[in-house]
Amino acid sequence: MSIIVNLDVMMARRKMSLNELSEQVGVSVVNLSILKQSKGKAIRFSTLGAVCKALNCQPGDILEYKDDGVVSDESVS
Amino acid sequence: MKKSASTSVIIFAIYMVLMLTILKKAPELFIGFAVISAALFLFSMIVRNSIYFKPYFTSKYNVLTSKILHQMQFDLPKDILFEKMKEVLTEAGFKVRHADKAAGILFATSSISFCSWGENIYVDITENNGTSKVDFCSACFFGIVSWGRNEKNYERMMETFENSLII
Repeated sequence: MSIIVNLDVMMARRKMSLNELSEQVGVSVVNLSILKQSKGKAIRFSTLGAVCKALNCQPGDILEYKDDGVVSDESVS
Repeated sequence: MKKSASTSVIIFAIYMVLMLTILKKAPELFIGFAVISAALFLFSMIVRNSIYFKPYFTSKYNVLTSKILHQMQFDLPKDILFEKMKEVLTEAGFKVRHADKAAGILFATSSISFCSWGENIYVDITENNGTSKVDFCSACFFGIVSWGRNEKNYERMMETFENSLII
């Protein structure tokens, strides 16, 4: 199983660039790029909340579960 | 940074006390010791902070400096991994002296401590089909034995990197 981060989709819908989102959320562009590519280990609730506030969306709009048959022990924290 | 500054001050104070003791008891020995110490400090200032001496520190034929080499693979593009590594090296307490994004080269140094004159950290990042290979080298500035400092540098960097992936 894996968690897909659809941050780029929401950013495109809200017409927001990575730099703008970075300024609003208070997370570096590098970290947001890593998050966008679903390469992060975990995401803090505070970060998730800030992203949802900036993009005016729900966590479910950004996070998607996809069963790819691989068991992973990474989790959202 | 404050911790490394206070450590340097303590080391310098101990060094001065030692030098004054030697001067008092054996002036001839003091001159020799002073010349060697001055040469080492000068060598450190010129060589240690410069990327141009990387071949000297990383050469496998250089037996005067203890070094470790690690190779890692990351599922990240080179440009993102480069910025991340630069951030991680700074957060881990190293001082980034040289960063060349095009070549994927990072050079950082660790501070002087009681156990060592400090280490030079070299990170080379190369990309291959969307994944990146990282070559990490920690080399003692001066010393055949690193007293575990090189390994600790690697562990500290990896721990900081892992923690930084919690966004």
